[in-house]
Amino acid sequence: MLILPVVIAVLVVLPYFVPHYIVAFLMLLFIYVILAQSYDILGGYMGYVNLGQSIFFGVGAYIFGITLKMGFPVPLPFLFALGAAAAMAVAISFPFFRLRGFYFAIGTFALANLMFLIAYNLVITGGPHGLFIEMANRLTISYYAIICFLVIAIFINYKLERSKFGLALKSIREDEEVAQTFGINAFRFKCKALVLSSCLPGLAGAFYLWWTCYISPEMVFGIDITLIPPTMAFLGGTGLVAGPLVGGVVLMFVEEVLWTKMAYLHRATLGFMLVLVGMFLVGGIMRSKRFIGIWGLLKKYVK
Amino acid sequence: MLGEITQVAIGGVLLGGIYALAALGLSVIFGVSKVLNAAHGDFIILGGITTYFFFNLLEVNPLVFAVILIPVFLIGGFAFERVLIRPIADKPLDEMVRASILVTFGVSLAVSDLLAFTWGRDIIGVTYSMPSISIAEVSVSTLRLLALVVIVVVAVVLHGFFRKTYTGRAIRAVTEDREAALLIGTNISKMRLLSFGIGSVLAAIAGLFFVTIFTIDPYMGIPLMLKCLTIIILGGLGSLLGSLVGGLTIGFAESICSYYIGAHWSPATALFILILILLIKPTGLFGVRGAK
Amino acid sequence: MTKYVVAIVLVAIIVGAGGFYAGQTLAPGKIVEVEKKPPRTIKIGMTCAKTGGYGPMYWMTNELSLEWAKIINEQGGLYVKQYKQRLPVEIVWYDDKSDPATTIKFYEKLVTEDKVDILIGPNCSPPTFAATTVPEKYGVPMITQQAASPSIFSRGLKWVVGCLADSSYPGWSYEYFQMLKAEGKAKTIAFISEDSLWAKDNYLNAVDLAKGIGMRVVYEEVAPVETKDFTAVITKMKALDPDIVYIASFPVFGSTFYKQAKELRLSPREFHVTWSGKGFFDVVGWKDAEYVTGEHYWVPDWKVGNYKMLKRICDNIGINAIEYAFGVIQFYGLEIAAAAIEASESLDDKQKLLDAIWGLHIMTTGSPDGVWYARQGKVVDGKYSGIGTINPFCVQIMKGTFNAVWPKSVATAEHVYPMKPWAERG
Repeated sequence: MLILPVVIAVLVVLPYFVPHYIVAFLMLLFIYVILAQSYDILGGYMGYVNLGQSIFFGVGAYIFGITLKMGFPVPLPFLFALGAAAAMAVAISFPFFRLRGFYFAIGTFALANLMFLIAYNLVITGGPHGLFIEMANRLTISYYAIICFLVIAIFINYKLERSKFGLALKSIREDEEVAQTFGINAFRFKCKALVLSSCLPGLAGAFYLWWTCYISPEMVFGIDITLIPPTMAFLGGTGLVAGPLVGGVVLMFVEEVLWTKMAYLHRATLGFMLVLVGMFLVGGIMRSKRFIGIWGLLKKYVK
Repeated sequence: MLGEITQVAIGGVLLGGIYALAALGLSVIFGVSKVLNAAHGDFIILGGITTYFFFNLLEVNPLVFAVILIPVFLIGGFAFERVLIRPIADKPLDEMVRASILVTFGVSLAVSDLLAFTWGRDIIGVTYSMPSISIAEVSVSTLRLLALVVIVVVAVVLHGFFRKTYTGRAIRAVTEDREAALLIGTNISKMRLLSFGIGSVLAAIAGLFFVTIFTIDPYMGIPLMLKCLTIIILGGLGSLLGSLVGGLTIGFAESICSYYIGAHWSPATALFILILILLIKPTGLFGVRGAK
Repeated sequence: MTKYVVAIVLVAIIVGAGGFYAGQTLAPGKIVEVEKKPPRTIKIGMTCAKTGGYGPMYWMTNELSLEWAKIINEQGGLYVKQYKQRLPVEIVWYDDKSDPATTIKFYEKLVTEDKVDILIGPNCSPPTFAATTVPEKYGVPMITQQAASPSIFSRGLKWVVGCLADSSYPGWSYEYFQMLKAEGKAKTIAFISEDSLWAKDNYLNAVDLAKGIGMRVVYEEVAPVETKDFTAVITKMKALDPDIVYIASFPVFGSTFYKQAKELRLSPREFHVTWSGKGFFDVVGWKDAEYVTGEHYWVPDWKVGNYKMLKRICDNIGINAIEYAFGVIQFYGLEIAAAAIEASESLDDKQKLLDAIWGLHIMTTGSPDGVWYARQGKVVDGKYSGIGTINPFCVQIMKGTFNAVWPKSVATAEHVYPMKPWAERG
């Protein structure tokens, strides 16, 4: 627990010592991790694989951009983004929570693709040309905002472990029917969980646009942003507080290293690694015996 | 006018036939082993590449090469199952689902990247064409008709296999009720092996048609797999007839939508249908009980 | 047991491949050794779509650039007024994986860490859109060699200058419609476009051009890029029997449509395919592609500008300019950059460099006649981007190769019109 403030302090002063590129890399990494952590609320604790996290990210980004261009002064578009993402979560809850398991996953994935098509075809979102906002160098501000959100995301999952709300979600995961007989209004909890998991991605999307000054449907609703966060969660370990974080860091660093060392076959190597993980580390890195051993040693050391 | 609509309808059915062929393999694999083969699209590409390779050696009707594709991909499918799937197949369902997604997705990435690296990342198409049949004002593409014939033949053969032979019935048993099948002593492992073999062969044949009628490129695996997924969910997981009907429906719907509303919204058609089915009857048109 | 065997094999492959390829890193190009150590090198920054969806068309652009730099340095480098001597050129490049977000990341890196002097735009429109935010943020000139979409140039991006003419003036198919006008034979035209930036821009512009020369547009349709079945569209077109069928697309869409058009016996007097290059004729086959008209920047007997150097570069890296016509545009971008660097009063003062670009009126190897200068784009908030003047000329596929057919000044063959209907072609 002591490590945490130290790490945060290091991250905060980093931009002053380290090349621009690394800050950008970290920011993208943290955005993915935020998506992975918030995915885990539904995916890990509640047992519903939600492949539509990118919906909130994209909606947040686009609403932010559109309201900013409409002329609303700065803090407001961020609030609009947050509101839109949450509203979207509520709207999705009603039709989609009638589905379970595999079907829920496919349904949310289909919805994410639909959002892509909508963004691609509407004039107000700029269509295939994407959305430009006024340009300026805002990397540092966005970076700090994203760090805040990351801390909040991890904190939420940490609290979820220990709260009654989290307990309710876990009971839904174990056996939804039984949970209902114990008096848990499953739908209410599911809806609340979805709204909770939509807030941070929505804000992250807004800050993403704030930095890049340009988004296109592919950047915020594309296959990458839809599938990579759940993969990170799987990789690190779903249902664990630091699981998505670990998975995210490992995945991004491995990809970066691979990419710089192997010009052409980095994706293939990534594929091989996923196969290995699937075969040996299925519970996620954090659940593998080796990791638990190392983690135990570290904890003893710190104490 | 009638001629036009007939043409569009026929076009839709022919397209649907090819879609159904592509989806069939995925359905068989999923039904038996409960593994969603994310690399299915890449198997289709591999089938297409093999066809292209042989077509460059011998310029005949590509269908001839099915003779080579069938044994090669049967063995390939077996190998894939034995090496990559068997080790993870006996885990608890949760873990197995995750593991299979990771493993097959990993394979898909690896295959598409390796292909892109070795063949130069261009798109490929087989430049073989057959004159089309003209009936009144309606032209029917012979190649696509052939694909439809093939899938009907395949469907009939598979149907016979699943109804009449012992192994076939065993596969059906596993698909419909895994626990019961286990209880009566069905060798699930062997069924799984077979399903991967059959599924891979079906994918390869679909690939043959893809490369001849359309084009293929190394990165189309995942989008293609997603389309097949849409079809088998529409038709009902684990149901052969469902995949057929699903494929035909989607092809038909896309064609009609293209004619009346505009080609613009074609991909949306499949998505809308999928979401509608999920909300109304998630098990699909012919969903098999217990196949969740 | 099998599990572990598989694991060992996979790990061995990964380690082996890693070791084997460790040398081939995506490092920036190196300077050629010169006798006297120069005060600095001229750094030109760019990203290249080596992997990803646009890889097939553009993977060679970085090699082309590196080869160009090598030849320039062999000749002593470029003369820079600020330092009163010739300085060597260095190409700094990254693989943008055809992904807009990665593109932004790397252009920012080029500007902030690598401190390049001038930027060359990425390949293809979507990454270019994303990339144009960077020159504007940091004030470094960028020559967008690939961009032809009007929306890029109508945002008032001061630091962005295009190499190509945009789709609105004179338009991708300008020469083609000039030819149709001169011949006066084609009267009706039908359009099918894929739903992607470049194709759609060209189709919309072509509609205006067609109407401008008095043709009647009988049909227009936009279809998603992945469309595999065009029965509906082709059926409608057949009923209308247009003289020209204009296919605005990249190879995948275009070849699928064309193949099906042949199957369904759609026989206009002529097909026009905006991108009839490698992907298209590979799939369709030269025999079936006969008579297809299109646009190109290069034909085998091209003799404009510095064609000898371009030919030398292509031979050295082992490509055929016909097959990679879009990638070859990189060369024109480099020509412009080099001319600007030599004309500029200062290399370090980026504003002066930008002014130098605007002041150019040079001969390049681009089409239709090699002349390049910057034209003013839409003014937004008092600022405007630069639009170039390189535009393709009209080609027709005849007897298995491309021939320039319009304008007459560069034509290598006579335009054949009409084509024989499918039934008679066999």
